[in-house]
Amino acid sequence: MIRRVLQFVPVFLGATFLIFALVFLIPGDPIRALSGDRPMPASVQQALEARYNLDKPLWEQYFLYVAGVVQGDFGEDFRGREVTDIMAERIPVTFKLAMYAFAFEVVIGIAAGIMAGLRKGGFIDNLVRISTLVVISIPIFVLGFMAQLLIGVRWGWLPVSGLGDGFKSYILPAIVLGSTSLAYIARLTRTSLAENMRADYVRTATAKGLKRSRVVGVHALRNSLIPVITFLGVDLGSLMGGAIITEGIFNLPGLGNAVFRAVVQQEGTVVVGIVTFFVLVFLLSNLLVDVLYAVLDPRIRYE
Amino acid sequence: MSDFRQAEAVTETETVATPVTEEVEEEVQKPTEGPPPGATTSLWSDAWKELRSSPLFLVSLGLVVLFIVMAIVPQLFTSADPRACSLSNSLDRPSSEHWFGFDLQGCDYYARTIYGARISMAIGVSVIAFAAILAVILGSISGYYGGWLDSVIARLTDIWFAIPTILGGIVILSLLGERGFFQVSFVLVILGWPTMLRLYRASVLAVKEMDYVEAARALGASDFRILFKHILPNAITPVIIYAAISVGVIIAAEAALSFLGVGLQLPAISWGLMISGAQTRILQAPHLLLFPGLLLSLAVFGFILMGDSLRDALDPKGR
Amino acid sequence: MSQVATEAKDRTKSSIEELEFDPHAPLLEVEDLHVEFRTRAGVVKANDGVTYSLGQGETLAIVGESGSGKTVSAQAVMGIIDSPPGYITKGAARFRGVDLLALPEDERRAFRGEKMAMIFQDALSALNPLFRVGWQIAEMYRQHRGTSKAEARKKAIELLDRVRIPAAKDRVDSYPHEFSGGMRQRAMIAMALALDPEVLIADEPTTALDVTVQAQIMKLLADLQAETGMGMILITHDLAVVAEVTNRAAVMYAGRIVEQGTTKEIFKTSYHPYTLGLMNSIATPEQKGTKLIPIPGSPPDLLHLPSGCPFHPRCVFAQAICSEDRPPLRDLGNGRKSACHFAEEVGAGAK
Repeated sequence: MIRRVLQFVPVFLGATFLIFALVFLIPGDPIRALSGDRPMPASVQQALEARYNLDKPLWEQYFLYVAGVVQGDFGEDFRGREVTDIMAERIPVTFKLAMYAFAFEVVIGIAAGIMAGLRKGGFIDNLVRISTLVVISIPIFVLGFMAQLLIGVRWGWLPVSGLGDGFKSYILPAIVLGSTSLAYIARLTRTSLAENMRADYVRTATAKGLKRSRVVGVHALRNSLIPVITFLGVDLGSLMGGAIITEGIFNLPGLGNAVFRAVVQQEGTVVVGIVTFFVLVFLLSNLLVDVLYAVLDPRIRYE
Repeated sequence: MSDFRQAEAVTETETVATPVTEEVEEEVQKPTEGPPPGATTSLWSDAWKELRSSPLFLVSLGLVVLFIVMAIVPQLFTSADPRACSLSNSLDRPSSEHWFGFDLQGCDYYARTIYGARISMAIGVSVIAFAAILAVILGSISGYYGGWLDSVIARLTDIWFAIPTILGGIVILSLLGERGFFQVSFVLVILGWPTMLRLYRASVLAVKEMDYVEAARALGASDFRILFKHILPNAITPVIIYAAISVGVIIAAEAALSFLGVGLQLPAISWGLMISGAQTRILQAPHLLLFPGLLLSLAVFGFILMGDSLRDALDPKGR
Repeated sequence: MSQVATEAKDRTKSSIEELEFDPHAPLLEVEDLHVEFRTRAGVVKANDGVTYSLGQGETLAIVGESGSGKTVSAQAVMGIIDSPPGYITKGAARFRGVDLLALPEDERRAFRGEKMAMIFQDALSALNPLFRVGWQIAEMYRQHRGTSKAEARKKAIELLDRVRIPAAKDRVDSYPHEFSGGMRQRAMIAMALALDPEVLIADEPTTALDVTVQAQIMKLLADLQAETGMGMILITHDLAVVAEVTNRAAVMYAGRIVEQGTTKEIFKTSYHPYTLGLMNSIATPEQKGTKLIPIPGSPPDLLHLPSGCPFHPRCVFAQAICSEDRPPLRDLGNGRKSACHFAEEVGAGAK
């Protein structure tokens, strides 16, 4: 267990260094980009470079950066705004969006998966199989636009842009964001449950005279949900990627939106800052899943 | 957003551990219950029989073939030139002569959509093919020999995993000045091969414990022969399923990246780019979004469905 | 537990009590049981007219190779056949005269665990890996009797003691994978005996264990049976075990019973070529220096059974009639039965 926590550190460092190196190896000069077409006096350029540590070798830049991060300083963007400020402003939006999407996909995904898994080969099973494949196939941005068009504009049921309507503004984007994952969760639950229903211990539970609802709900389900939970940890990563697109389509001022614009505007510090944050969240959630796994499955506890 | 790791969830790997090739049965007489001695019990021939009669598989096969043909010979589907654009036709609605209407520049949208298949298929297939080759080679070494090389590779894949695909894609691609077929494919390969490697490595680990591998080794087969003649045919099954699904995932990923503006650039004809261009005019001209979106979804659906059907047919436990 | 749930439980329990049991009927009686499995490749008749009975305090062995259908018949009685692909197409399974197969599922379920219990071959996969052993045993009390958690746990410890697991108090909170094979099997036995069932079905309980542990488990089962007076069905392919602990035996082949009788008798004289073959193939110290005599051929493909008597391709006594007419299970007197056209000759000719 401690081993797993320790493994986290080099992976985190490795990943962030990778991003850092990539971003700052940009061909092209961000300082010059700042000033646009106007010529910049050499002294000003040098001063700016010193300020942003751009005159130091890459690995030194990286260490200074990590040192800063550990102290809570993610640097500033090229207009002088603290990256942490930018993040603080936007994290709540992305967080809410992700949480709503997560709740949506988990509840409906698992429910659908259970229904399908219990009646393997039946109508609901086939329905779930095909519909989940269809949903997975439709790229999130196509889904997003269609949802916007139909539900938002043509039928006017839900808001489609900005945060104006409070909670309601999140509904449609959350559904769009979570739909692909919902499909995966439903399939995984379905397969896992169907498999477990054929397991020996389920037969024993039935032979013990337990009610079917208990055999399925207590015995089979616990075992079946383990792979689903593992998946959920990984899913967070795709939720973050999806958030970038969803926030763009539905015009939500979140982290995803911010990182995307920063990339386009070559704001290296912002990109690294936000992506580092994403990576951190992702790694932590994976760690959490590992721990949860050990809690749920006693067989792997004493590795 | 589709991600390699999610495709793994769809695959739900169960490593196939029964002797597949008849050649293996030649070298190792393994007494089996069931079919009388002499009958060929090849997993693939059984699977093929089942696939032939499965409507879902046939549909997926049809879709895949359709798109491959569309990519190779788009002229079969349209005689118009996707680049012959005339502003006078700008944003014209679909009509009986021009089924998909025209886009902002006045290009025949139907032709553009058809030609869009080319780059999607090309990227999808080549990325997966390349990633698969890499994964098989490295996975064989890593799984079979283990040791420090395996640990190093495991650490590296861990680091890779920490970076979600779309995020990594955005960051890396935004650095490249020119983003054509090679650049985008390259980035997708880099982001995706760790998953395939892990999959194959796990498969190798399971298969190498099998008796027939042990027997081959006892008969004096060289490592190379064992890896490629005995382990590969048996361990490759999950990878094949995953590859089929992944082609779909890659096609979607390329579209997503192009949509965001960090993938292919104009004048490349890509569904993602087309949808991106359609954004600002959805209300007036929804056909700009609909048609490439439809074909994109169908292409992805075809591959994913195929992988799914393959997986059902190759499931050794049967039903 | 909620009032509704308690009442539901009491309802099913009392519904068993409302059933009319026949005090003169045997404890368990299986009559003309037909079970088939519908697979992709065709229909497999796993049980093709199986009949046997079990009396109070008796131990019946059901002997046969893998695929003979012995496990399936027990599963049919318990009602735990996976359906699809398995279906009970005909027959009765009577517990003290009440046909279980004709009961609605709710009432059938009331028998499981309470009146009839089953233990399985591989205790590691038969126990739920995620729950503690004590919890799984206590579950019987909590669910069937509404016992409190603390009380149920106490009873679980008592049971573990009873099946001779040392330091039961410490072991009760262990997980199945933390036990050794023999202890796991004991735990499973404990779980089966929790509610004092009248019938215990043991499906190859010792096959997965070491020989020394096998002996211990069989002794445990025999002792428990003597204590409780329950009837036991022992499913096995191990003739040595059959000889040691059982009163009567039924030999199965290709989904049918081919010979039946008291164990002693069957070992002395076999009235069916298959049983004869089984007896002859046991290696004994007297045979030292001579060749072992296996039964020629291989077990039949249940999808394509031979015509007439399914054993005829491998039978040294086979005549023309054997490939045409399927021999019924005949009564030979003295409780002996055999499904062979030439049963008397087989019995007389011996080796």
